[in-house]
Amino acid sequence: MSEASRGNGVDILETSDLSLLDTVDNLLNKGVVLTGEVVIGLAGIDLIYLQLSAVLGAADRILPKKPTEPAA
Amino acid sequence: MTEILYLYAVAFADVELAGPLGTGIGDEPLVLVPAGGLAAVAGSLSAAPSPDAETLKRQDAVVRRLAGLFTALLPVRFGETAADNATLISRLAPREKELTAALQLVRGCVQMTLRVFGEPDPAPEPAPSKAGGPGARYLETRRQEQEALRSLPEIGALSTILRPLLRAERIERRGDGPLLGTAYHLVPREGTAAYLAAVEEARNRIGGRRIAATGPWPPYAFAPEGVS
Repeated sequence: MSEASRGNGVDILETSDLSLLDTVDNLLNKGVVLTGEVVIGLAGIDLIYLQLSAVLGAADRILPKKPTEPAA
Repeated sequence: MTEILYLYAVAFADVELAGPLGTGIGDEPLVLVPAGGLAAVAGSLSAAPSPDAETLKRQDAVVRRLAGLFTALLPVRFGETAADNATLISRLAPREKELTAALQLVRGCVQMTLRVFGEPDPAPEPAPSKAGGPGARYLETRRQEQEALRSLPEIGALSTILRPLLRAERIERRGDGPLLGTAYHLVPREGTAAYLAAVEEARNRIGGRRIAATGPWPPYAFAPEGVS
């Protein structure tokens, strides 16, 4: 990206209607999802946004170990 | 014509409203659909709406008005529909515990959004892990990377000032453009003026980076997204 176009991007982000940016961010990217997928159409094309956050790993190897209980 | 239920928000079922629910984006009357301890605010539409700017603004206006009627309200993402009440209830039922906890968190609060623009700090080298085998070390590195995506150390001085004013915080870091990241802050309704004053006070103490605070918004960023 050239410096000029990068500068324009900053100007647009900082001086345009931030409330519209927030509205789009809030409504399309946040909020309770009940179906797991939201299908929305734009210009006659279906756009599917599906976000899954998964952590696959052995938790006992990553998380700090708890101190072991002394034997009674 | 077959109608669908269009969803706007989730709230507690046993709530006393501060006024009438009013109408939705298609001027349809809104109703509360109870599901256990929860209730969904919904309206009947002939089809799911298109995500054009005008419709998004209308839905935001509806949700903002609803947020003023409820002490605790979770906005639903744009475009969520259900075929009928029974379908809606069957989707809410398995999420009741999670949604109840989220409603308790946002009770009496609004969302303030803080965008940070500028250059990132140089990324620190990940601390080498001595424990475990190569798989464990790889996963530890990934964990550190994921943690970094949920932090904005560049505004540490501001975060320290804001912390006593917040009930919760959610950070989304970018890094591929002028927007460094966004911090979503959950603030008690009566605390927004103090929040904005603190942002102004700290504006010159974040290493020349630029910040833009907007709000108050309904707590969109604190609604659980996952499907259990």
